[in-house]
Amino acid sequence: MIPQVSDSELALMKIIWAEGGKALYAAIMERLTASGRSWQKNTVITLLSRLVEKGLLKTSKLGRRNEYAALVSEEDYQAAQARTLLDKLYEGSARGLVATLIQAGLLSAADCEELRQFWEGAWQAGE
Amino acid sequence: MNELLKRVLSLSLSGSLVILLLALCRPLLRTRLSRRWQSYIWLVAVVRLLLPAAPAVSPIGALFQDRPPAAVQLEADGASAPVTPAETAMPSGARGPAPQSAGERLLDHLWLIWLGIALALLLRKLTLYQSFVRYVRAGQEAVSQVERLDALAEIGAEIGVRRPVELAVNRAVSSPLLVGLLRPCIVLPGADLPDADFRYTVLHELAHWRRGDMLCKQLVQIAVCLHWFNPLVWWMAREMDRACELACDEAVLRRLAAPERRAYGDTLLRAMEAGCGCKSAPGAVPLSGGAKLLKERLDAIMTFRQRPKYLTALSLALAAVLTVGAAAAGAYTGPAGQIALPAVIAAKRPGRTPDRSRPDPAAQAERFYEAGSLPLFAAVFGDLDGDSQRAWLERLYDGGDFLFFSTAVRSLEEGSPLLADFAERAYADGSPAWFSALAGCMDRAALEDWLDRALGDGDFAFQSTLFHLLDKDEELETLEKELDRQLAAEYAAHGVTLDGKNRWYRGELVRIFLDLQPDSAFYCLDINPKGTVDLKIVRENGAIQAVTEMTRAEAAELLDDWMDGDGKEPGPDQDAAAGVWDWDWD
Repeated sequence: MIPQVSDSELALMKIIWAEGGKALYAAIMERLTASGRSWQKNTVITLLSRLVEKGLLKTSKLGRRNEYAALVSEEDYQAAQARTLLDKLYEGSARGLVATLIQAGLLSAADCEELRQFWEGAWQAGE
Repeated sequence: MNELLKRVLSLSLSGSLVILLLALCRPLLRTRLSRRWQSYIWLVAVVRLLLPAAPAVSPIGALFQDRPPAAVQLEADGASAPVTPAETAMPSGARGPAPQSAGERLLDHLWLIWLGIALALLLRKLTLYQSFVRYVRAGQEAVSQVERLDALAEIGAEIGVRRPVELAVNRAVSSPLLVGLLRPCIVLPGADLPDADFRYTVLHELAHWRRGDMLCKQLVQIAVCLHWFNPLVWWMAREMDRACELACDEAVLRRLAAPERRAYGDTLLRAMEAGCGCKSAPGAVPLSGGAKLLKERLDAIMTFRQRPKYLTALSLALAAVLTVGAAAAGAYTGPAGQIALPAVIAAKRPGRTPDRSRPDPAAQAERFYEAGSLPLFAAVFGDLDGDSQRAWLERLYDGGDFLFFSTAVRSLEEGSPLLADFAERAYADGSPAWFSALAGCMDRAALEDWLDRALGDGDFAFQSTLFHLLDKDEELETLEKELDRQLAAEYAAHGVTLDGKNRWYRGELVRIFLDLQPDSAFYCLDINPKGTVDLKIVRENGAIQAVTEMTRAEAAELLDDWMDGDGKEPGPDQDAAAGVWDWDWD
């Protein structure tokens, strides 16, 4: 079970995933600034240590610099979040979710075609 | 009484003195000195209550000392039962055959009661604090709004808290508080607090962290547990909490402009209103606490003003005085010479020659001398053989170690030839002080003989010493008058005349008049503030060589000494006092 994270924490996780699952504190700060978020140093440290506490990150020292490594991959995290969403909103029914996506126009025809191909490819690979 | 209990009681008494002093000064200092000082100064009392260190000689320590070590020794001399270290460590305790009354037995076991209650209290405070922290942590939710975290970081940077501080919300707490000794966390009762309130709250809580109040409160709680029987300590703990809140307010106010101060008071009031049915805990630092305290805090906010610099200097001086005073009050740190005495006693017991397993007295004497321990040195000195004693006395005499010399002399056996030998030497050297140390151990007959000799030689210094020792007050008085008359005549011969109490030199009134003989056998120092000329007598072989005027620097130094030490000549006693001023951690 992957614990819930806040939006600000997720933003940091995304940066670390984008850095290849491992990032130095300085690199994180750089990316944050690049994305227009000028967060305070202590804010970032607090958020990172909360992620460490939640078991999503681990920290190690590289010389005097802190390196943060993701313990959970982005895919695993997405899967877990999707499952939580399914359980919460659709009582575990993926069909209900897809129906909502189509009804709300969140899936374009192209998306549907891609999904069909993915689905059939998965079956063929399974046979 | 048990050793442990004696130490605790002595610490309690010593600490109480400091607390009382502070309590008495409080109305005087309250509005004059900074709140920060007023809160930190209590630490002197806390340290005095907790730290069983004291100068080797201290009033409180002496109060708890059963009897001087010499008495312990004498008793052991006569005891037939073997003396074990345990028994000497507890001189008044359960010593063998003496029957004990019920009261005594209770007194002996009082320490168990003390310890039991102290441990129970400690345990209770600990579990209370833990369960409180668990209660706070369980319901808390980390604040994830970056704006708030940023604001917290900025305020931290502003007041010098560089480490990251956690921020959480817990609806179950009644007022904002700071928890965590290692990783500080500010817990707010709600997230929906206006920015200004948030700022003041954080300023206040960070001020607690910066001042180290968490640690301080823990220390006070320990002091309360150990001194649970002392109401003054409980009172002090409450007083410190109060002082601590006021000091934090002050730290916040110092950063606020006048209109903001009003707003800060409003924040305190709101925190108070929100937090009824407080759940408070020892060790946590709340923002508001009690209506009475709040009133005082609001009052302080209204009357807040920056304090002038000279008051800072004054408060530092006061703190220094109090610290030194607290250290000097001292504490009981165990019977004097507790560690080494058993060996000494064992060696002294009659009918037993010291065997090889015991340290030999010569080595011990050397060791105790090096350590500067007078009573222990005196105890082993008596065990040395005549030759070693002579060697020691010569060493001390030549080394000018008056204090050890006079103590060693007192340990000599009656009629020891060493007494006469060294008296002869001191007499020949013209050192009445050393002579009197020896003469103090002589019988009257011997003293009369010496007096005859001194009278024959016309030596006033020795005559006065001997008259004094023989309690011949009348003769002493006559002699002193005669001495004064002779001195006056001697001074007059060199141009210094005496008129009542005023001395005159070449028509000028003398301010400082100093006649100090090289061997300090006697000195004459007169200070007359109205005078205009400072004189110094130069002697050679006892006779006045010249009368010289003192330099300005010499005079200033002398006047300084006079102010500090009541004009007392810095004698061996004062040196010794400086020598025993070491910290006894045992």
